[in-house]
Amino acid sequence: MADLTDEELMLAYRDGDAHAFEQLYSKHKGGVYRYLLRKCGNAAIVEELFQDVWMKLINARERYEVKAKFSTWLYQLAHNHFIDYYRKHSISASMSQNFQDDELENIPASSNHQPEQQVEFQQQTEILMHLINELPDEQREVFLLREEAGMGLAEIAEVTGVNIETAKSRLRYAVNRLRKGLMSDE
Amino acid sequence: MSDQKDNQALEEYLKGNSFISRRYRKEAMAEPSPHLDAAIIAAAKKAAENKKTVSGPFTARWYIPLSLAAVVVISFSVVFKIYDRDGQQIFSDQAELKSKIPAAELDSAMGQDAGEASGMMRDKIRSKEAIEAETQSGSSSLPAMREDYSAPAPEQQKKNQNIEEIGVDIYKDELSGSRQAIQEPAAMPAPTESAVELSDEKLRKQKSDTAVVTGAAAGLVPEQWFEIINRLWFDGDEEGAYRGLKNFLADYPDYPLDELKKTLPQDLDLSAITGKLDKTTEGTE
Repeated sequence: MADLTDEELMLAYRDGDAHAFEQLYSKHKGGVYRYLLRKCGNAAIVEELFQDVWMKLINARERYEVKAKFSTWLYQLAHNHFIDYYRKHSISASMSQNFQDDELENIPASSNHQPEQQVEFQQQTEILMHLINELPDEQREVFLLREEAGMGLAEIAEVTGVNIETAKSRLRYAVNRLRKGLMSDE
Repeated sequence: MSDQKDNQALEEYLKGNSFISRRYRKEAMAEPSPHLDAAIIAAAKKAAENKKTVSGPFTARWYIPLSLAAVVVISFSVVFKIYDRDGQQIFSDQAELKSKIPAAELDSAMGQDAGEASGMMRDKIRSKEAIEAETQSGSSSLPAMREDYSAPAPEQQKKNQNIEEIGVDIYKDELSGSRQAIQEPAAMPAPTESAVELSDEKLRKQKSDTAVVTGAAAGLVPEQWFEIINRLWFDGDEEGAYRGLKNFLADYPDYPLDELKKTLPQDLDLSAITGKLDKTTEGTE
């Protein structure tokens, strides 16, 4: 079971194997959660969105066929559900980036550092997260898909519904802004 | 220059070990809460259990298409069987009737009232082309036979006798079969009484013509001629009987009149034969 790909695990779950789902969930839950968290910023809404995305996957299991990578399909579900949620609640998507900094502070820190290092690391984290938060929605999204899902440009283009050149251009702008922001802060 | 630098930065970033990526991965790793994990996994297990309980031989994806295909195949085979059986029945009826009733006779026998119905029956039994072909072949062969006729040798005469016996039997069968078909037509409107009488008369005339002509062509012996003439006479076909007598005399001109008087019906006026025959044979020859 451990050697199975994501697609094979999903097919196994479609056929009634609950353990296959547990493996898929443990593998992708962090990435999907952070992808939504960075896009939305509100932990309460993110929990609701996160649960909805996985419930959609559970309900769609019988129709699942291997047409693309499982991760592409999963993040496409998350992307579409995020857009639907904000349309349904008449909230501008741009508002999502205006979440409070204290939301970021609630994110637990890694425990592998000394106290001084932890303070410095916490500061760097806040700067990076602030910079990511400042990115336009489209650029932030392609960056998150790259970092959280490990997607290539083609997959990012597929999830976001744009062509590869557009995805590449957005990612280039995002990386340039983050790089300049971090360098100027050091 | 700036674009080139940006592209280089992107390429470095896409390699996966850039400064930004390292810092992003080292930062706090947010995870969903444990109770959220538990709720989602429980929902997934419940759905999987439902899938297991629902699944069975009749819930498989192939079940409905396979059932539909089976129904279609069985329906077609049943319909084909029924059609095939009816088809054979019609065919056997056709063969039986074909041996008894020429379609042209059937039409004339049914008269004007039953003409439409007989036409329907005729269409069902045989095609018009087949009737015409049969009529043509029959009419064209007879004159040839008559021309080729000469006094038969003893062996030939014996053969002819067999043929004649068969011919008489056919005549009997045809006559009885035709009457049966006229009086008891299956699924057809019953003809009127006058139509039956008229058809009987026409049929007799046609049969007598056929028998007389056939007998002449086949070279009947006198006894067989007498049997045919007597039969025609007692069937009420006076005209046919006289015509048969004339043909007999054509074959056997020297046959003694006394013998004829003894053998043929008393009512048959032999002295008037010549005058009557002259009138009736004009039309036939």
